[in-house]
Amino acid sequence: MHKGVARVRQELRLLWRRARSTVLIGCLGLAILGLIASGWLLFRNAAHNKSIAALALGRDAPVGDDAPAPLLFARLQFFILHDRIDEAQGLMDLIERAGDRAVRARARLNFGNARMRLAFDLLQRAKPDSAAPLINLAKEDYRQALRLDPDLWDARYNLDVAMRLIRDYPAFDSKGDEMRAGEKGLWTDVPGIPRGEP
Amino acid sequence: MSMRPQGLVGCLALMLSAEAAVGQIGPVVIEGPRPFGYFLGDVIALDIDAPAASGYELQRASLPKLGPVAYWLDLVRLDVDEASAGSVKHWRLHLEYQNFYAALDARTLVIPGFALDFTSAGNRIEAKIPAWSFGVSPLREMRPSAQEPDDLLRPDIAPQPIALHRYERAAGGFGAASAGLLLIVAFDRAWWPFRRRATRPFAAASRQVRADLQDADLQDADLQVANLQVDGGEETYRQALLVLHRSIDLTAGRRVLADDLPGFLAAHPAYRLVEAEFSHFFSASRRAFFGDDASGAIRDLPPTLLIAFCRRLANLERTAK
Repeated sequence: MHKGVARVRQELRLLWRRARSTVLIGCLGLAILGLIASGWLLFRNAAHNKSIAALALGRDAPVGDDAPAPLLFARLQFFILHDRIDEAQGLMDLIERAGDRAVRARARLNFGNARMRLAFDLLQRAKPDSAAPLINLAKEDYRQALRLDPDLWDARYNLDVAMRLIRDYPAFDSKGDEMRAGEKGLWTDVPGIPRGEP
Repeated sequence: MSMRPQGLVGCLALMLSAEAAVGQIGPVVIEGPRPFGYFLGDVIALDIDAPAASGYELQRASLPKLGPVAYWLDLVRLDVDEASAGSVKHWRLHLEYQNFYAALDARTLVIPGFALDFTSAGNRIEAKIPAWSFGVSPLREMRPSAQEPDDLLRPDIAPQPIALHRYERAAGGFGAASAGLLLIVAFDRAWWPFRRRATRPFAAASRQVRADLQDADLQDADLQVANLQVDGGEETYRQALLVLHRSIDLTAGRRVLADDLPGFLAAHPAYRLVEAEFSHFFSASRRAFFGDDASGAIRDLPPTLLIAFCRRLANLERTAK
């Protein structure tokens, strides 16, 4: 019994001695592969951060379609701040696909804000009919942001602002299956909106 | 913000649905969070327990659908699980609703109830899940003091850079591991700075023999002989043989000649695999030193074979100790 154990132990020791050199080289190879991979990721993301910083300073930087969500978000914000809303719209689709719920929620919030600012602009120029669809789209943006991240309090606040401009009402009787939001006219006592007859 | 149901804080609504056949379905219990103090955007979690007599199965088609329930209310999550306890099966529903009602004043809203269908062998029973009411509060003052439209909105959230510390930590870890393993491998193979490791004489010999014979063209045995015969090449070859002799002596701890080979192999069984090569080497060595026939020795054991033998010994050496 004891002899058997000692023999197995000796066999194992012999096996380890034979395999040791190979195992060590293998481990070293794996560690170097890991170093190369993590170093490459570090380098690439540092480059992304450079682009993010440039965009924040107002300098456009090329961004590939497969860029990570934070970089796409930075470019989106660049488009939003430079009134390039159509290009921003194209980026929104990419961001939706890039994952990362927190970034998607923030992108939705900022995009909704952009639409709201456009709508305010139209309201000040006395064009409420053009403003209303924008406000409704912004509401959907804020709702989507809150579905993605209920803790995004700025989206709650701005949704409240948009809802007071155009309140939702049930489109059908409560019996109906379809209970989507319906829209009614604009509230007219919002600051900055001209009142009275034109 | 998700409001989890909590035992004590949670409001407990007991409801025996009237038309459920007595003893087959119910009583249905709804467990919810506090029923007041909610804002636009809050998530409200309700847990429903519907016990059914075993044999009755919940019809999934009667479950509420994810998505808008009312224009101000979304169902964002629905989980169903079942647990048997004796003759009763508990059907547990976890529902999460999100409130989108923009309240102007504090008021009570109602999450509508629904009916669940249970069937057993053609019998169909409907269990009514009661409505659940809760109070919402306004998020902002009635008449905001802001005069400019832009001040009405909360500002945009600025983009953040990608967090790099994860990659830095990974690169640091792999770098340290690579350096450590490189040291261990260098020690194992007697690389610099462990070249002179006492327990690796064959590794040192292999390196030196290779370096010494490097100049000779190693492709062709005849050419090797020719090359070694000029410019004191034969002397180089003898030197290489001596280097290997010395490493064998170091390994054995004493002088080893051809006759001592069986004793050496008995003491160092790891090298038994190359017994034939040892004999070959000793005969070539005898020819070179005692027969004074270096070129014959070179023809017998050309540098390529000698180098291969040294390398083989260095490999075996690592498995021996």
